[in-house]
Amino acid sequence: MEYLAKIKKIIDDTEDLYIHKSTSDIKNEDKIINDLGIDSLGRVTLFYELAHEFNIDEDSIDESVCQNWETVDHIIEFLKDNSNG
Amino acid sequence: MDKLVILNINQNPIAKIPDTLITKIQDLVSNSVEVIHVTKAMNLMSILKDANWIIGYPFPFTFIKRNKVLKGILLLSVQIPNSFVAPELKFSVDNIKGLNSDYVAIHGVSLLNKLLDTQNINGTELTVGIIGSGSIAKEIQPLISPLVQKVITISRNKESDYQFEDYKEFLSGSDIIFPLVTLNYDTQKLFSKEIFFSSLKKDASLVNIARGELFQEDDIIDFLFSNDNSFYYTDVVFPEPYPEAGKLNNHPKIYRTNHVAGFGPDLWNRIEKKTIETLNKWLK
Repeated sequence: MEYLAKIKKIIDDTEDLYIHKSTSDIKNEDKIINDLGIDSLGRVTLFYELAHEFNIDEDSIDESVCQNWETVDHIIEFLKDNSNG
Repeated sequence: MDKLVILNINQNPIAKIPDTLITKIQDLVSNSVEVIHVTKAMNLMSILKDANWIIGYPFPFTFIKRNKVLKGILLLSVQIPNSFVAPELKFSVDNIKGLNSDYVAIHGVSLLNKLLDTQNINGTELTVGIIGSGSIAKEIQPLISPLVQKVITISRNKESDYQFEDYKEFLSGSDIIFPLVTLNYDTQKLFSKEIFFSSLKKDASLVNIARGELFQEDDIIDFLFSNDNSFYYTDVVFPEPYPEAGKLNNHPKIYRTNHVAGFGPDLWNRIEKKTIETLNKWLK
């Protein structure tokens, strides 16, 4: 499954992580705060859910990296750089 | 030593847990429990992974998924997320349901009055539809009734005027709608573009004192654009704090208060009483 599709699925599957639009409408260029409405707590939530899904070693990466995610593309870049299959 | 985490991430000045309550909690547990006061989302996972008790506003279940020692949570909200009450979970969950419903209802009425006054709408010709039958719905109905021609209700409760089989009929008969249901994926579907917005009466307005997440912002914006005399009066948005560039800001047909509805003058005293009761139960 491609990265964007997996991100959409994780958002769908994570209770208490609500966004401003239907997940099917999420685009790569969407802004995390302004377009999706994900706050700082939501970004940390997404970090851990993604880390689990993409086999990323949470202890080797500072979670604060997620506070630099401005768009969905930034999340995808992070996953490409850090995922282990 | 057991660990109690006070989650105080909400930076809205009226929503922040007051220092007096934090001190009270610390005094009550004395030296037998380590109290950790958290004001930022960062490192929350490592802080909550071995917490025994948590007091604070709701947070995603992700943060306690791997916690094997959690004994109790007191959520400072009227709603408990579904994931927190799954049968296999071993910890107890308390909340402040009912403690502020009178305040929320009064704020709902003030938003309704604001809408009627500002938009020069004659309330005596209007039907207000209330979705839900919880404590806020019960509080607000008698307050609204004298202001409008009719109040109609819909919920799963048999005593409501409508059941959800007749949802579209209920929506098309309401001039102003108050959604007063808890937030989850099921209730969110009640407010979809396909079901909710397509069934609304032309020029219907919405008053939201429940949760911003119930609606998709684009659906609201589209509806307001297509209906000249429709308005959205709300106390709740998401995320909070709401971004300056958010679509609900500076919109001519949207009036917004800053999530103040539940915070009446005695609320923190009520919460303090509930907190002490809960702590005594936990520490028994």
